[in-house]
Amino acid sequence: MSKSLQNVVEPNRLIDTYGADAVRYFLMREVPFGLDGDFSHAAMVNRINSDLANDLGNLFSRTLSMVIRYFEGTIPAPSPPAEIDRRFQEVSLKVLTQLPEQMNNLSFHRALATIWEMIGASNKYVDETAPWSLAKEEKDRPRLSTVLYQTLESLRIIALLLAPFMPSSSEKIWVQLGMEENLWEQNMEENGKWGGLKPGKKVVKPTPLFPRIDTTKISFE
Amino acid sequence: MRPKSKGFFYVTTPIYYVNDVPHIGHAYTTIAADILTRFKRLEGYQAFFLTGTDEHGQKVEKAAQERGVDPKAHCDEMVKRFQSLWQRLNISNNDFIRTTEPRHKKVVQQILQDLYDRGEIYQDSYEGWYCVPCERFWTEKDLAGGNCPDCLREVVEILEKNYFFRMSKYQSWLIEHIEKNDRFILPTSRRNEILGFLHGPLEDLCISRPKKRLRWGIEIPFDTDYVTYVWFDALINYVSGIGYGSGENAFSHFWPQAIHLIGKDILTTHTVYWPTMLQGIGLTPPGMVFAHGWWTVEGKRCPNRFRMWWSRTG
Repeated sequence: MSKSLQNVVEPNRLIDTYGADAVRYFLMREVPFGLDGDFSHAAMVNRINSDLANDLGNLFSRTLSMVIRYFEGTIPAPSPPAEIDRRFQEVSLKVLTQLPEQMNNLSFHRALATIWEMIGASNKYVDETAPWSLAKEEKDRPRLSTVLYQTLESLRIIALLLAPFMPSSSEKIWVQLGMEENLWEQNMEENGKWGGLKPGKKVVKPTPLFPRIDTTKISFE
Repeated sequence: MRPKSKGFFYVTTPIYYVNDVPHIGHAYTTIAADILTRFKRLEGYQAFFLTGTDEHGQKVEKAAQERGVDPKAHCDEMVKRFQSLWQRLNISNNDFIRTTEPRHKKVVQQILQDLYDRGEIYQDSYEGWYCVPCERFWTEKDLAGGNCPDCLREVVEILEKNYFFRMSKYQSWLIEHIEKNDRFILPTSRRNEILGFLHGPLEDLCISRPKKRLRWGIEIPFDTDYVTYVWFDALINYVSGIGYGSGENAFSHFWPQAIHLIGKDILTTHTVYWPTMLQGIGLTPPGMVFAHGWWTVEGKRCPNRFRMWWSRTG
């Protein structure tokens, strides 16, 4: 490997370019632990833009923006869950059962894929329940409260599960959800249960978690 | 508040060669260890995460000489590159061990003396070829056109007295241990690799270097003309870092359920030398050695910067 090629993957330079959490995520997600892998800037940018910016970043910012727009930033109290809500909750239960074994096997890429199933389910849930439509009618207010509470709660659990992988971003999500407890003093089994988020608390205006990377504006030389 | 502890958990990375420039491979192992530790802490375990640096050997001595500084001063400077990178990567290690620290040297000497007293170490003469830059011994048949098969540089012929650890006598015990514990070496491909290696005869391990050739090492307590072979010194960090021999509780809590994360290039030292050394002093082998793969960059192979190992026959 040439000296210059080595320099562009020097860890400090990777952190300067992509941020520590993105580097941590990429290395663990891209290749099964135990096998050989290839690092390329194109693959890295692709992971950041699709997994981090699109899937997770978007879920976070659109959910918080709606809570700010429709409830002035106050976490709404949920009404009794409908079928679609219960199905959504079950995803987090499944993820919580699978994760410990995947981690015991040092199967980091599987653990992340499992957490991303929950992120995917959350985005799908928002799309299907369409809170922006519910916001139009006063009579749909209880439904809107439930949907946004559920999405925020799912984000809280995602932040907890992702904390080992991306400590800074998870902490950011956690704090902006209005959680006052120290993230690192949580217990995954106890605090991973549905319903930990407290209605009435204020969320914070979201700052972009993972800005999209414009490949035309980045130079690796 | 956190409920009562679910138990103890211990994760390590290899100690990195202090002269190296930190690269993606170092970051990979360390990030994995950090994630595992943080996960276990959130599960309610009391988890201990140890990393550090390997600071002895000829290359360090030479690099310091070239810069006109004392080897320890050289290490003190070089180690910062690792420590600052771990800080930037948000690595939550509980301790950072350096093999030049008195707490480590003391344990290495204690273990050497213990093995010597038990008759596990003997003196014998060594005859063969030696590659100075690689710090490695080779037999006639290993050589590539008369040169070092690794770096292709010239080798020197040597005949000298050295000390050897009776590793060979643990061969059948080790095979049985690996076969009985299917999570001792992971992934399974690596386990098979080591079982394959153990089909051939296991030699005794040369664990000394005469001071006339290398001064920058840990002195052998029963013969001060020698220093300890770097790998023998380095592996002991996994127990010296949690207070072996100091009477501290940490050691009894965190040993032997250790999980050693390593790169696949240092599999033999961790799954052959290390468990037999432990067996020699009456300690149980670590719970798991997990060897991860290598990274290529844009399709090209990273240089293997981990220190090479050698045994009596090279």
